[in-house]
Amino acid sequence: MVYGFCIMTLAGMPSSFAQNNNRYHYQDDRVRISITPRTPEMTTAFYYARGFPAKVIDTLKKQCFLTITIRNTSRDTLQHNIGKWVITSSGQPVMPLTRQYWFDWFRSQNIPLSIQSTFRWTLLPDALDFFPGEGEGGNIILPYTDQPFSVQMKFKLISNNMTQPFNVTFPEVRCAR
Amino acid sequence: MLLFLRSGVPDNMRFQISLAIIVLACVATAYAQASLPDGIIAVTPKKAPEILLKNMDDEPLTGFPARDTWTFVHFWASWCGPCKREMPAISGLIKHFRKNEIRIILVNTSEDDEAVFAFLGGIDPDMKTYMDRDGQVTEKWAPRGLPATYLVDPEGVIRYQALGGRNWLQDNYLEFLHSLTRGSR
Repeated sequence: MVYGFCIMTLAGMPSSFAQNNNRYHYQDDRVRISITPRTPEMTTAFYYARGFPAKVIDTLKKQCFLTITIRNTSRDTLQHNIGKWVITSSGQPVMPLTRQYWFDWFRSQNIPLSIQSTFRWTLLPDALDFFPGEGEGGNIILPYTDQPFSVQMKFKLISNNMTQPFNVTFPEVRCAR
Repeated sequence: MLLFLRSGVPDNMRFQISLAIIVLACVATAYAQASLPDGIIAVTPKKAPEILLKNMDDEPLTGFPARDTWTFVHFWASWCGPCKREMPAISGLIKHFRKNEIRIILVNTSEDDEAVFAFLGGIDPDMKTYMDRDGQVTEKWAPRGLPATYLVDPEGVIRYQALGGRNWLQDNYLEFLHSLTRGSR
């Protein structure tokens, strides 16, 4: 059993971490994060219920879906940017299938705009300045791998023109199968 | 202010009074933000994008912005969990403001009639929503997530945004909305 504990690479604030039922959690006084890998069955059920065409679902369910929620637990602005995350497996970078990747793919498949729009709403915002207390969630999508991978999330706390960068790393995350 | 600056007030006193005015303005601005209920933020004023949509009965939205009152613009989807939890409160809000002290406009994002009828029927069969069938109006408003609520002033300018969902029928939110109609914000 792999325990998905978090490593604070900066600062020593009190923090808590947990993994249960293949869900990963992290919390301190700046941010609360959860990662929930989705099985192909869950992905299929979710998008089927939203009227997605079979060819889209067949493609989506082959990927690694991670539902991620992020909440700003601080009193400052929490800056998030997926583009700065570092995801690696066995020392090799893992590149998320980006919003732009899916935009291009949906267009190439002539998928209706309503489906494209709904799909985008299920993705985690690429970048966001979270207000104090604000939380948002959504999926990130990786190419499927049966190997564990680490997810290093990079954030910045911004207050009174002071910027405090910090990282939260989930060292051993697995896709659900 | 200009008269004061051009008057015969000594320079040092002029500076002190100017400083006091600036400090008071800053305090007033900070108080206005701090006095907002949880999750309501004052945004940089911005002209509200158009909403050229029809409702479930194929009736086009007219008279937006309302010109004579504030408008509560709410984006939602039936698959979004927080939207489900918030919708009964929105239904209550519509009944609370039945005299149109605030105009409430619902915009469904990218769903079809079947999904919307099934969802609203289970909450309040009298509720109506405008249908952003291809999601393009929602894209123009660019909410941070769903659900999303904007408060648009009678000039058609977005002044406030609500982050995520909430129980709008709580006293602090109702008081805030009433303060808009009284013009006290």
